[in-house]
Amino acid sequence: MKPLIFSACLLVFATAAALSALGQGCGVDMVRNYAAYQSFSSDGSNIYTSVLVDGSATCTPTPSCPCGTATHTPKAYNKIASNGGWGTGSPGCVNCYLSYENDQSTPASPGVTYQFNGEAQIICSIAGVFYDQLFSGGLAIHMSAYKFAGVSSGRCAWSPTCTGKCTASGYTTNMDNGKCYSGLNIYRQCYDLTYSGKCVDYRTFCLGQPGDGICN
Amino acid sequence: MKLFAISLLLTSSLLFAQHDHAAPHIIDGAVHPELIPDSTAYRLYFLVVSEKPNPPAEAKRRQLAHLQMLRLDNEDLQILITELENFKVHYTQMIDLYNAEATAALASGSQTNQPAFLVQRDSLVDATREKLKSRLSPDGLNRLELYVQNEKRNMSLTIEEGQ
Repeated sequence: MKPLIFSACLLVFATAAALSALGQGCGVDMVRNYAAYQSFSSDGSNIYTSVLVDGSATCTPTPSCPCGTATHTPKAYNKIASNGGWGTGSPGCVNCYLSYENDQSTPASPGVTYQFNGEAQIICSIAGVFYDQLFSGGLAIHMSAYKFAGVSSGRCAWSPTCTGKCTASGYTTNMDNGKCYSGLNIYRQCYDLTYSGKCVDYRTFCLGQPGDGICN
Repeated sequence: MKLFAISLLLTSSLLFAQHDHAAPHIIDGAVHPELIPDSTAYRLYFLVVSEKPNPPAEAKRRQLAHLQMLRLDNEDLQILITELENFKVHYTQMIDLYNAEATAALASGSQTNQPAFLVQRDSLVDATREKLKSRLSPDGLNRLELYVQNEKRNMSLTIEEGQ
């Protein structure tokens, strides 16, 4: 019985020690100053995604942790639909400043959701991954349509003609050389962007047209 | 057997304790956008939407798609593109210079003054914002500021970066 108890206790202490060592990065205080950013946009027929990692670390070498010889490498994963994947920046010294961006895009049909997965990492040649940030969500272009509703307080007013995912109850725009629309284009077909089911950009751009538009 | 089970439970609790300990090191802008400093938010935004001079056509399309979301008039859009290009050029030069010094310092067993570099980096962001304040229309500037504040939900940073 005693060997069993001893083994179990040893297992606990060994696990605790190992976790402690991992958390401290070979026993030195390492200051990490990193930031990550996921960004997306659309031009109505494509969705563009970017993943950025930017920042630096400091490490003072000690005999037990010769971090002065280490290198740090920035990596960013950016996959939209079936496009993209991992990208890797240039390795730098342990105190170097790293900034790396992975840009991708996919052709996009309105109303279709495209899966986006992103990840920003800094890899240390000694400690392995020591900065990691994940992003994910579904991106989709949606359509909304509006009709000219007159001039209000010197601005052009637009009212919806159908109801889509990101349709607004109405909005106004600046006049362009005293006009709200050109020719017979009293209707506007607009394109919106959603992320994880939420409208993140309304009317990213709108095109004037003479007939009613589409909503989805 | 009971003791072995208890040991396993302790091991599991240590694993979870370690996980909890690591979590506070990251500020997630999706949860706490108010904890992302403006200087950091503008820096990240400027980096993603800026291009170096004479960018490839695909990069230009991407930039315009990003900036389209601000809904600036054409004059403001051109001003922003120009200032972003200046930012990108200076930022890249600043990093290249610092990294050369940091590498040389480590090779000689010394350290560079990284805090001073980070101040210099943030000064470039501040200077770019000041230029935009003086050159963009009030409406354009307002649109940019609202957009960057909103983008904080897509950013994350280490606690040290946020201090």
